[in-house]
Amino acid sequence: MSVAADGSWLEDLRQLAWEWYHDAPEPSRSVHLWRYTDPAIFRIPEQIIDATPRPGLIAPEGPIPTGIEVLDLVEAAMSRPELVRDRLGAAVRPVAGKLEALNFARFQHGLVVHAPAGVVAATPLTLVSKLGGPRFNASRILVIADEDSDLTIVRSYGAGDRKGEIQANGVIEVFAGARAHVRLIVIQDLQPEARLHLAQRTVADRDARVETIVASLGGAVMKADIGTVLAGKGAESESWGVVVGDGAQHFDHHTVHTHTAGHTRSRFNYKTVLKGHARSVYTGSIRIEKDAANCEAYQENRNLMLEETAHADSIPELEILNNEVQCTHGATMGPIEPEYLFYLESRGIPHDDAVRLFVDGFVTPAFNRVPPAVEASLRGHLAGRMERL
Amino acid sequence: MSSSLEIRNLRVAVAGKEIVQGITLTIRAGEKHALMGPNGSGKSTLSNALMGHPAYTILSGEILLNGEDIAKMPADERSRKGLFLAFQYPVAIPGVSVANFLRSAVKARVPKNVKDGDSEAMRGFRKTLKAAMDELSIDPAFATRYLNDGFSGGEKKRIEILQMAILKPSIAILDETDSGLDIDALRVVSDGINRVCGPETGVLLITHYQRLLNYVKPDFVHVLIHGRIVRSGGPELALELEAGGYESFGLAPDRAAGG
Amino acid sequence: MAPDDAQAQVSRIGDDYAERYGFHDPSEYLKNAPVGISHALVESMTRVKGEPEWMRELRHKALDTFLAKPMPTWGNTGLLNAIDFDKIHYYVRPQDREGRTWEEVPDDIKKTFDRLGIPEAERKFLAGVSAQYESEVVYHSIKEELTKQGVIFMGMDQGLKEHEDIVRKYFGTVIPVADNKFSALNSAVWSGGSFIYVPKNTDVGIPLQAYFRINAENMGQFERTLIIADEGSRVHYIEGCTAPIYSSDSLHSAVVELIAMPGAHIRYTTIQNWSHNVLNLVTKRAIAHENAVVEWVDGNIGSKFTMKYPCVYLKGEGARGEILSIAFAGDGQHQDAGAKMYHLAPNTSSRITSKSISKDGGRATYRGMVRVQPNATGSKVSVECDALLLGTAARSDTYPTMEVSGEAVKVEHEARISKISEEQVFYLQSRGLSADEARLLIVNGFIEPFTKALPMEFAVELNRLIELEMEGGVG
Repeated sequence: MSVAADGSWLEDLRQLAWEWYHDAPEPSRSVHLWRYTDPAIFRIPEQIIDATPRPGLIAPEGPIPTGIEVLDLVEAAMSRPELVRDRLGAAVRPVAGKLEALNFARFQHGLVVHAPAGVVAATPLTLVSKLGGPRFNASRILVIADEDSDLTIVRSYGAGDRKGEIQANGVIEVFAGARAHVRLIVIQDLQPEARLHLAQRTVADRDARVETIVASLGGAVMKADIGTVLAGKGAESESWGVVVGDGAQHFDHHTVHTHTAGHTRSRFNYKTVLKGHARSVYTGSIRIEKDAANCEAYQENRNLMLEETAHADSIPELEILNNEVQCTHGATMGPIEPEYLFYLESRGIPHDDAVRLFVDGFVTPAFNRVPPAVEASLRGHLAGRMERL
Repeated sequence: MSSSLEIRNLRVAVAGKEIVQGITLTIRAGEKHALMGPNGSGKSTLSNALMGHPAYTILSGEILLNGEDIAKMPADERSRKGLFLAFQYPVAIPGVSVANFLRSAVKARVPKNVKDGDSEAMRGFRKTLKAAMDELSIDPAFATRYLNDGFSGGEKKRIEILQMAILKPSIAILDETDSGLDIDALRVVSDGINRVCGPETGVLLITHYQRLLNYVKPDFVHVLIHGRIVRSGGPELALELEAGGYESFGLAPDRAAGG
Repeated sequence: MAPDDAQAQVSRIGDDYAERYGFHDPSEYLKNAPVGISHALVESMTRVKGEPEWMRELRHKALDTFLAKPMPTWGNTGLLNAIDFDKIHYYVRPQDREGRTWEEVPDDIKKTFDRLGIPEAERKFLAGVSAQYESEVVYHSIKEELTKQGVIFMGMDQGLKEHEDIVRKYFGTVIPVADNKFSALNSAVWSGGSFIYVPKNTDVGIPLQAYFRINAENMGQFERTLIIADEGSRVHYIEGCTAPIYSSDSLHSAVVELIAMPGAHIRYTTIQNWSHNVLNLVTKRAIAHENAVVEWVDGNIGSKFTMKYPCVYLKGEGARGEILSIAFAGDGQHQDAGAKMYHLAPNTSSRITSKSISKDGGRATYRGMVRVQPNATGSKVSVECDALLLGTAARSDTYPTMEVSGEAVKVEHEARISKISEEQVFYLQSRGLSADEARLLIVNGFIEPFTKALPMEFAVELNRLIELEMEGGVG
């Protein structure tokens, strides 16, 4: 099949996505995905949708690891169609939902991150967006880790200089080839007025290993739809989430783990700490397809409620169509056990410090697997967030 | 006919790897044989293969129980023919009480066309169970507890011996029955073995250490290394092992240090 | 209802009746074994039964609600949308029930009766061959005892006649007519069911058993049950039986409302074993006032498709709810069962234990809802779901929802999906049980927490039933 060398294929698809966005109905609240978050929060007046390219919306911080290619997405569509064309929009499909279509049609800056076969990145690649400028921000990252490559990406959303409401729309697609090892750490520490919709999908091929962490700390509203398809035999996925909220913050995380191949493993663990009138929604699903034998799946969602005005919703779902399976899930909601606080306080630690210490211990397991530099960054953001609690 | 278990040139593989590499051994009623060997020598493989665990493949050889080859029978048939294995790690079965489980096991030995009321074993079951528990100093409360569910190591081993007392096998294999027991529990369990295994029962004691043999005196001792019996003798062989370790039987020192 | 009564009702038909519904003789209409649902049917039902005006209005309004409400978009939408409401018999007088012969009863049902040792007379009743089965001796002695205690225990239709004030006060207060499409349907065409009132501080010592062991009248396709346990009283009600209930009709849709006044204790036990052609769509809900306890013990063995989520509104401080459920989904069955707990007051507690077994092509779904309102401080919730998969084509789903406000609450949810471990089977085989016996014992152990909550004879029958269901190859 011949491919248009001028990138017009992408223009055409983006135009189609725009039409689809235009005509698509609002997300239905009768499905879990939007049960607890009013889609109107993300409704955007068309006049503020500005698709003018904004190179630098996603800015690499520090050196790009040796051997890793970081390309502009639109340029890559022209110059490297063989890399981009079959993958862009294949993991997070433009028709998955209205906001996914909007991103495809109107992203202002996109990057392709490519780890060629066998390349092991010695340092993490950090990509930062600090939201200033226009009210509407849309970015898109396509990660392609070829077989036997090894790559760590930190995707950071930081507080920018814009005051007032921000609508941010992010998409991250990750393709982990055979035996590739990808770590993706998303740190969301946006300014208090920001609203972020993030859609993230990973497709893990044979014996690939994918580790993701999402630390959701800032912003007014964050809705994330994060998933992994375990598509190759022996693939593994480990996901962690850390949510710290207070005030009137609203977090809605949805996760999907689909085991389409046998001998695959997924584990995930979302930890939530809530104060004030903060609300956390967690809906998750594990699906083991009929032909996927010998899978293991674990799903855990723990909610620490620090004040009685906080609210947590949790729907951890399982759909198991194969009996050769080990699968468990658990969810808890509750305060810090008074005995723990008493123990810490009895050693002379003031109450607030004891709470911080406990929370730190509560979320720490999420940071166990990341490189030290990334852990330091995560801990820095978390400490800052805890100071504000 | 007096009971016997004859193992002839038995070779057993697990996951495609040959572990038991040709064992020949005969156990008769009233005899106590100790099979001693370091970790990885094939002790548990032998006991599982004798009982008929589906994960263990018999490559060649014969297992004759009272003259009949049982090597191809499923485990339940071997059990009903009089073979018993006290497991090293008995599994838990939640929701199934010890009494209910044992009643099912006893019932499995009653011909299908005999009603419970016409079977001596079924009618007297409750009494038999109570007497056996008394004899082995097991708290009667265990009858209603779920099988091995939340039992301590010592409790599990005592319940294994209780099952042996109720099912009255002609040949009993005790796989590392001493493992994980403190000295008091070891004494209680050994005492139980001695009470239950009379002159009608042949016993194969599988153990790493000599200490169980202080309480249950074997008539014969065999040393198993790398899936083969390298020496057989009387009780003095166990003492020799105690003094010199498995090294003196040709095992490399690093392999001999087991635990 | 006797035909004479029916004739008496005809004379009281209102003037607008012919105008509104276009025919004149409801008894004629009923003779023709009506199928399909309409206001005319509802009108004739309410008149034949001689119901008060408020019930008549309630039924008509409920029908409008039923017709207006869309089908649920979850569960098994394929089966739900395939229901042909025009082909269902909504009201069959007892005398019309007869007519089926024993020969018409499917063989598998007969075989199950055999294996369960169900007495001849009960078999015919359960198979729908006979309209009446009453174990008079048992019934009368129990009835005397209950009367002495002041306990009311009768069919719902009779309850409406004799205790209209109580029925009117509570009917539809726990499950409003418009709660869901099928509660609306039931409210429009309900017939049969039990009405129970237990006076203050009365302990009904023996379990009250509905239909086949006591009273034929309680059985129906759209039965309606209302139980009120007054302050400090205690009652255990058992509905259904382990024997398969054969119905040639495809839809069973009951509504059950329980009210536990302060300090009262209600346990409601169901063993559902409808024949495998029945869609069983049931709404069950309880209100627990201060320090009251409500327990739902709910077993789903039969039916083609069941949607049933017993619910407790923990409305008074210190109230406690417990739901213990098992589901067995064999080939071709879908059990969509679960539990709901609403914590609406401080220091309320609840526990949900769900055990499901999916075998061969069967599908078992746990669907749950736990809500803790902001004022329900000091509340505790624990949910445990265990699913066992037997055979490669089985499917298990877990859809729990938890909505929790507040800091001073504790919610714990756990679910495990597993199959029978080969090590367990080998262990039992090494003690002389066959592989099939071993699996059966393990399955019975798996549901033991449920069996334990049943009266002895039910537990024994349930184990035998599971044995029957387990027969045949299990992977």
